[in-house]
Amino acid sequence: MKLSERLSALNRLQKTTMFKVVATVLVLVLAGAASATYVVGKAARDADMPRLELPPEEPAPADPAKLNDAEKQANELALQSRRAAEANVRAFNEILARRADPTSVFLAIAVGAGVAIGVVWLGLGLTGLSLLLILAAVCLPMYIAGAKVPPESAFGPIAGKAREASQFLAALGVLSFGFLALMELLRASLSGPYRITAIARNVVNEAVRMKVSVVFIVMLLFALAALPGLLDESTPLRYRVQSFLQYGTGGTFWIVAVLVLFLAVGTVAFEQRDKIIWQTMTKPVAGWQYLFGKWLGVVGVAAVLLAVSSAGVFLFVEYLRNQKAIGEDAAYVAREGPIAEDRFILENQVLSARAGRGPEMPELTREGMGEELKGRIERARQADPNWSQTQENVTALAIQIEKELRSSYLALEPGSQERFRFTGLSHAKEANTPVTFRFRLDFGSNDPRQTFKVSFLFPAMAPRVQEVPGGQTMTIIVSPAAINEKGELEMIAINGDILKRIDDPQDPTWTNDITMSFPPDGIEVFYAVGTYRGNFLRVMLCLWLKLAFLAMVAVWAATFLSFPVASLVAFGVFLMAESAGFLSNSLEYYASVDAQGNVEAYRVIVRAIATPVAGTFKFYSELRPTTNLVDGRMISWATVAQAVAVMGGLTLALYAVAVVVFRRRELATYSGQ
Amino acid sequence: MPELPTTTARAARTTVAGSPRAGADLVVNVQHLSKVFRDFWLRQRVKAVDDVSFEVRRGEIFGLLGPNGSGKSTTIKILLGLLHKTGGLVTVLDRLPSDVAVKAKLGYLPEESYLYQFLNARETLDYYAKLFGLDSSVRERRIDELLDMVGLTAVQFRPVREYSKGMQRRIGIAQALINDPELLILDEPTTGLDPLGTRQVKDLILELGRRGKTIILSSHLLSDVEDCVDRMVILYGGKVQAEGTCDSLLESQDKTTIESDALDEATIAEIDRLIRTRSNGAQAITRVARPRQRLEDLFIDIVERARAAKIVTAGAQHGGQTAAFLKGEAQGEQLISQLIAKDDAAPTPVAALAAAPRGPDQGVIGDLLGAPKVPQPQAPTPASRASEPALPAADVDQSVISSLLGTDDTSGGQTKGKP
Repeated sequence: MKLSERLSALNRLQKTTMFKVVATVLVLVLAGAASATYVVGKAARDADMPRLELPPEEPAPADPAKLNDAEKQANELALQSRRAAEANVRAFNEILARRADPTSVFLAIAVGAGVAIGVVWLGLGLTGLSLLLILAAVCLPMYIAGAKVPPESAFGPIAGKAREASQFLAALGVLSFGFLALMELLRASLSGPYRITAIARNVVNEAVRMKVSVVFIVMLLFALAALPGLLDESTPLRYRVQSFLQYGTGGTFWIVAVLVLFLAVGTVAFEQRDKIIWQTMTKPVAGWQYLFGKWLGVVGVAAVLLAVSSAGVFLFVEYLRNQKAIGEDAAYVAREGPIAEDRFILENQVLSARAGRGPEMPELTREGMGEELKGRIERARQADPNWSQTQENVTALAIQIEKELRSSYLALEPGSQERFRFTGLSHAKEANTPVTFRFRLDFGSNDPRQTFKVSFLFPAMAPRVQEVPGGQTMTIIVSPAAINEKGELEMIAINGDILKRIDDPQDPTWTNDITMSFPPDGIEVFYAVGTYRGNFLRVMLCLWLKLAFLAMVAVWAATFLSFPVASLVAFGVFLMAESAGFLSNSLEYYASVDAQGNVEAYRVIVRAIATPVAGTFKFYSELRPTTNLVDGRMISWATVAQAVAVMGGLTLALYAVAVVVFRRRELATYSGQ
Repeated sequence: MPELPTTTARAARTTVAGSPRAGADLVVNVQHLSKVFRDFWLRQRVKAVDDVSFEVRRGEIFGLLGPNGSGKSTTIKILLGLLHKTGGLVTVLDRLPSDVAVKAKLGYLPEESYLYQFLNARETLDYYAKLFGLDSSVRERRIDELLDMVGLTAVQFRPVREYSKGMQRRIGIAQALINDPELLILDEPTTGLDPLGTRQVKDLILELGRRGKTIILSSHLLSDVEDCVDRMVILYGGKVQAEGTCDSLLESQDKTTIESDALDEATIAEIDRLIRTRSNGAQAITRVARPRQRLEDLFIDIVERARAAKIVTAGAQHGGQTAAFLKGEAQGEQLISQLIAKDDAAPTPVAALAAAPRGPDQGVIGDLLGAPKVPQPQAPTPASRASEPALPAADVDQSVISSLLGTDDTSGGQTKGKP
């Protein structure tokens, strides 16, 4: 029997029901065995798991009623310190417990088994197994050689490269097969005798078989597989994870977005150009069915690519999480103290889902604003007799006043202090988990070679003096005991070293000699409201919603424009949407009148165009799932629902316009012909 | 070896010579149609169709002829809803062309094959079949039959981009028939096809016509149109220049053609003398020539011989009986239902059976006793309306023929029968 005949026979075998059933049972058995093996081995490892214990509690006073005020205050402080210590110990133990957390492993086994079973029932069981064996045969020797050969030996560098190459090939192979399997699943789900699904399935075939699409897909898979190799192992683990999340997720989104735009525009525009659409629209297919089918096929391809990429990112982050952090001898085993700072920040701030609260800002009363405005108007008139009291000019003055008020509140002169209140922290108080105070300070030009001493005072905590470089984000872990019963946290920031002042009040060097200021987004308190894994899923949903919207933009443009023009429009809308936040901020400073109140026509036109654009895409630009994921910020289900409503509404509106345009088109004519 | 279907004489399709057969209801009604193309600034650039009116009746094969730029394709595209009319009235199966439902009964073959290059033949037909909402069993059966009919079964899994133009054309024909349409619109259907394929298409058109399908045929190959259509309209400059049946448009009223076995010069001279005598010198033989075999027939003969000799060829096979579903043959459950219906029919009365003569089957015995009949390959006859023209008796001078055959009493001395 020839090899091709044998392969054909094997191909037929893997599509039989009997084979699928047997293979499924085998996969389940193997998954169970793997889980059991892990559990048994885990019990042995857990025996020497470090765990923090609280110091013994101070005995309570015999008769609290007999205490004087000072003693009562000291008692209260001791109680608050005890509560703070309890919260910290619990937080540390939770993080250390993640080392022993079997969730990651069980999740990987479950996902792997699920994928394997899916592959089997798609009729690709033997194909997948063959690929696995080939990858193992190629990559394992390279990996083992890289691990065994000492780096300092003559073959050390080559062996190191071989090891990296083996990891790259393995990742590429797994990602590629995952992509093929999911595409097969997508095609199977679109195989019904319905017009819309037939058109959608055709788009999926086009994506896989046309060279332009394949280039993007290969580029994406290569980039994802190569990214881990670009991470510098000497950088803190939290930065490596953030970098990988940023480039893995953000890079995936941009590559898939470009593919979506090209594919959606091409599949509609080229069919009209090449007249292939004649043979579709002379069948009983309504315009709305045709366009919906095209859109469905494109978002299906986008979903597959996003799923494969996100699975790769997620699994690699889980792998990174179990690597050594800076200051650890092994994963979760700190060299000094209960937990390494790198590990703590990674678990508490990066691989988390946190909500943020800014401080309450001062506001002028109505009368105060009125007085201030009068003064400003008078000064403006004195400075320029031609200055006119128009609505726009006065509004600009009011905005200026508010900004200056906030700026002065956020700025601290040398030796001065300011009190900041953060409200709405009841959830954190109830959960009794530490919160993160995150800040960024500007010192003049922010010379990176200079640092400044800044003091922070929190209730129930010792004063914290930080060495702060200008322009860099820093964090302080704050005990939940510092939050009062109303869910408020008060913090005092001092421009100087308060401990130095306490030691020697006469020493003038305790202050910095420069004014420091918090930027508007440079002072915030974060607290955990969810898990990283749930947040990751919501982030992917938001990214897919954005891609679905972009796909409809492209389909809409292609209904009445040629391919190059439609591509230009679609990409233009994409870039506008991504930069709408910057546009909104810029429009605040962009007046359509000059200082003399003369209207400038071109400025009016620019504002007239830019304002609705910024407004239309405001939600799109403010929905920054990748940034939130990297910063460990929560994307809630409410946000996802809002995204569905807003992005879905915009998508539907564009679809309606596209249908109307398409129905009116004469398909036997093409743009330019 | 699959045979090419025998072409039935076109005359058999007509009940009255020169007129379309039964079914007077209109399938396509075009009244005062006009189409003006405008530029971006809405200035008139081209008046492609100008006050065109015609009707296509159910069951007829209608020809749409004209040179390039005459408005044929524009008219067809308006019928299909690919263009919007500027003025006039157009209905297809009593509905507007823009009606999606009417397209379930249409089949369309454009002048070029506009196919998805990344699909193979099977996938292409499956895709279009799904657009008609056909379920999987019907789809699979029709696809198999159509691929066999167009001779692409062996190459059905190759992508369309690897096909020759003729092969792509065949797929185009197949997709136009996947839904067994009531109205078939064919724009240059034989473009890119070799003579065998052309013959097959023409035979298919005729067979579909016999099944009661309505066909609109647009072609530059006038011989193909002439062989197939019942009526035609000829366009030029967007206007109708002529309309009618083939016979009414093509017959020459002032000449007579007679075909006989080979004649020698003396006989021809005798015939000429006879004609002159009877017409008092007003008429004579104007041309004597040997009939020529059509090149198409010669080509087909050669190919048939090569196929009989089993010479190997790559590419499309000219397999293909017409697909069963196109011939109206019952399939699957439909067939079972018909068989059950027959069984349920009243049994033949015993008396009738008893009355049937009992005795040996004379036909069979005759065959057994006679010379064994060797089945002769049937010479493929051209798909031509002209093979057996039914000339109205009044148009032919029968006396001339009688004279030639020696059955005319006035000929004097002529023996009866063949000279």
